Amino acid sequence: MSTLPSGQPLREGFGSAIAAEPGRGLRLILPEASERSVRINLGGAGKHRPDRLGSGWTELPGLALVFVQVALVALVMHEVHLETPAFRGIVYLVAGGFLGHHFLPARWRLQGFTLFSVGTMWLVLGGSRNASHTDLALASTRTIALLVLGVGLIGICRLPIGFWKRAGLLVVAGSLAAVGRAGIPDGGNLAIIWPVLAAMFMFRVMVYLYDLASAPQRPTWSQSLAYFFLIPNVCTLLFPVIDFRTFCQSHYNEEALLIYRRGARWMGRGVTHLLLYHFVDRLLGIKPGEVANGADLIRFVVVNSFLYLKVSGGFHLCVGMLLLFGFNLPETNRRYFLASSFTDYWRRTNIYWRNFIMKVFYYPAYFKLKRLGQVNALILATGWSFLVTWALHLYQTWWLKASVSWTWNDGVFWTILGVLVLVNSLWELKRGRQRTLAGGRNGLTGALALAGRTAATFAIISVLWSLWSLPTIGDWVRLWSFADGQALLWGGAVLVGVMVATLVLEVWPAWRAPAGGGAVRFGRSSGGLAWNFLRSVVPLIALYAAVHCLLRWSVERPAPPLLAEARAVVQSVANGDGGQGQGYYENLAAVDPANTQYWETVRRAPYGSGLPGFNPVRETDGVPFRELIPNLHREAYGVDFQTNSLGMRDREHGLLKPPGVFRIAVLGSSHVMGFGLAARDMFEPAIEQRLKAEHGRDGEFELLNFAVAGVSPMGQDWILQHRAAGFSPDMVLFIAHAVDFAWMGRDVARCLTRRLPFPEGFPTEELARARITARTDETVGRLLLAPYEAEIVSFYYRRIAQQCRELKALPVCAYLPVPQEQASDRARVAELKNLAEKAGFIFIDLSAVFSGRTPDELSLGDRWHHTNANANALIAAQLYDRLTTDPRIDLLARAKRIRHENIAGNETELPARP
Amino acid sequence: MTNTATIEQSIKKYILDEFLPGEDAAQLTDTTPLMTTGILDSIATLKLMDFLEKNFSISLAAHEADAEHLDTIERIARLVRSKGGLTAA
Repeated sequence: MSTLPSGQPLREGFGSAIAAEPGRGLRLILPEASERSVRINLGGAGKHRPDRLGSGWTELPGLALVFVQVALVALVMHEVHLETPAFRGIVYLVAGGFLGHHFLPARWRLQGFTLFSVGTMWLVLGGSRNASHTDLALASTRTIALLVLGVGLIGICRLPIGFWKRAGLLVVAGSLAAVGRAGIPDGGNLAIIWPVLAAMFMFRVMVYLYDLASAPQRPTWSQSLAYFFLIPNVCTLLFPVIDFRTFCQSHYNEEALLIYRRGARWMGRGVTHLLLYHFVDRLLGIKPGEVANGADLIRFVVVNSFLYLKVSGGFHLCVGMLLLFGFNLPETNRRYFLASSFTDYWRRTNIYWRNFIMKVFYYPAYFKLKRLGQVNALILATGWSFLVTWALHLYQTWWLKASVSWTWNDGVFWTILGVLVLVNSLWELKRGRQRTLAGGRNGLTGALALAGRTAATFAIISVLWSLWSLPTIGDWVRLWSFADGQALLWGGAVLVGVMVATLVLEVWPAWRAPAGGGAVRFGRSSGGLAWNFLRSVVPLIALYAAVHCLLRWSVERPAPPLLAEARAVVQSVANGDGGQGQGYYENLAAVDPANTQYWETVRRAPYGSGLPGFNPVRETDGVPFRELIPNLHREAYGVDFQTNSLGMRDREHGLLKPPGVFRIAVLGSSHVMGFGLAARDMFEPAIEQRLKAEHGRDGEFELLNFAVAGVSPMGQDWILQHRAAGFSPDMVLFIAHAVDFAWMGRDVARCLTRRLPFPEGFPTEELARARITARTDETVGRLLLAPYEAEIVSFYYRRIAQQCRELKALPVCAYLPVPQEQASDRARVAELKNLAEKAGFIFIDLSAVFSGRTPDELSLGDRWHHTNANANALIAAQLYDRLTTDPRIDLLARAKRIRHENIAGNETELPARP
Repeated sequence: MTNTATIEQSIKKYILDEFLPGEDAAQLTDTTPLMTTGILDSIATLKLMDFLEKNFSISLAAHEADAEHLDTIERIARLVRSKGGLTAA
């Protein structure tokens, strides 16, 4: 047996030994026998090295510590709603599942892992838009379909025919799958399997085929199935390209507990990366259109490069989970912001991708071309590798999005990066690169030079990344027109920060490390329970406590600036609000119509409205930010939807009010607009018909529906002024909801980011107190404004009421609950009543309209729980009663008066007529 | 038959001269990880393979450019030995 110097074996067996070394912790000793077993077996480490699997009970304290870490990761994800519900579900299952797996007999662990993976796949695939419903039959159908197709592809790779024949067959099979992915024919309930199959096979099948061709021994079916049907690939389409050989060989190739600890630590790192991503995106992110000076330019460039945290966070989580099942895989990303050269960047960022390209494309190309000379072969192989990388990114986009568009900046990005890496490679080929056994120890000059190189690499990579993030080269060039002295100043400050980070995170640890850093690496994940608790568990407890407190701290209570921002970010993530990021990876992972079924399944929520048909509401640049498309007549929200020439869900009304008619302008949101309801089921026309039927002799009534989904009081104020006022209403019925407060904040944030003016008298001091500016992310801005929403709502209520008075229309405000009303909504009714009455409205409280009914009886079952026909009938009945019997409104008497005035007016005028 | 110790010494000398100039030779053992610690990156791997082919008169394949074959001097020596490599003069 060969051992590392001075190591004394503590725990020895067929495969490995762990040795204690003074001052260095534990080290892994790889005996010659195990080295040989690695070489001749593609994997099966679990079969060959049972002693590394952990003996079970003696490791309980260590296992418990890992469990606590994973449980804390799961808790943080659960609190902040990180990733999709399906992904979180898998993390919860993994937290317990890895323990069960650990206690399986060694020879069954690989199969156990595969069964666990397929089981989670089955649970995820049975998900539906209804969060509480899992369709087990559908889950089985989808899982079986996925397994059959996957096994078919694996079978092709294993056919006893030549490599190129198998590759050809795979191309044919891939083409057929592509037809399915393109939706020809319509996949129905099975449409989801195409993106999932693609995420599992599009790259891994290349690695698998390559490894089969070069392996001296054929892998087992268990290894193959485990490799393709990996957790949690079913619910994350963007997955690291895991190497098959490494996957097999690394299975329990180290002491189990050490692997698990590393996995749990990486999961913790993944969650931290994802949280950091949301903070960077929402607090510092800036859209290209908002760049107005040099400082903005630097902000855009730097923040964009940090958005990669989303990918590295997700990859750490995925690979961390696999480590918990004994697959001792390498890191996926390693401090990529501190790369000191372009080749170093290529080695640190998405390491699996780099290894995949090197293995399957670069080395084979180099070996084919090396007869042309080392330099020529290197140039051609590097060029080829970057061309392939570019093409494979387009290929990936197509499989995951079912569409792809070629852009010049995509090509320019990969070309420039390829050229930079090539030049760097040629330089290293000729001049060499500084390498040390002591983990890269530098003198002061060396350390400063390293920091300088790191800052320069960061600058160039960030600039390149900004090019990749924008839709066109023209956009990017326009952005750089803002480069000025300020940009130089801020850019310099950022680079100084990068240099300091290099010294602290790269140079300082190397200085502190004992000589022989390479060997010390083996001992890094070891250490006593107390040390591991302090190092791994305490930070996660702190993270959990922080997000827990931030989420439970009401946004309506003012807070110090930094805490208010942190609270707003965490709550906006937990609310599921979208961020600002819009780079390649954001687009790839974005919820989109191409994968409707997939997103509904993994998010367990309807996509969009959740109802079939057209969306009749379109966005506007200014207030009210949304409007109904005029003259529409088609299926929308699953019903026949018709609008008039003014974009009202109503019949045509003459601008001039007919004599004797009592007009009521109804303002409101989707509940008034009749979302998902046929016109006959809406409460507004029902009230109009009942008034005409029961009180036609008292007067003529017209109810004009100006409601538009999602419009806040700010928008209602605009609609009253620009749409309803022209119809000379006698009464304005404003239907309010608790959500008006949040919508108010949203629209104010929108006005700020779009630099739209506020009306005279607007409480701008509230904006200053909330510390939001034109650069604040809309979702974060809305939450920062929460403590001040009442003031702003009050302002717009006063404006609406004032307009009513000027129009000589009676202002009535009715509070209408939604079927899934929360306790916090009910608490807001008193506040709403107070604001409305202070503004001059007659307030009608319809809080009890749904009493005795369950939400399921009242809602459509859509994403936003809109009211159904039954609920509208209840609203119509109660609102009708209130309008006709409330003495403050006295609708019938008012209508009668208007009719008589008209008759009297006509009688008075009669003699004067010619 | 090639002397294994000679092969390992030859590889160690090449690695020290080419990639680790000025480093303490005693720090580089036959089991010191080379690829997984970044001492052998892609360029160094290609240079080392070129050296192995020329120095030991062997032919290497693209799929052998990995940690399984090249991560330690011990593994490299085993690869050379498996290819029937001869020690250069």
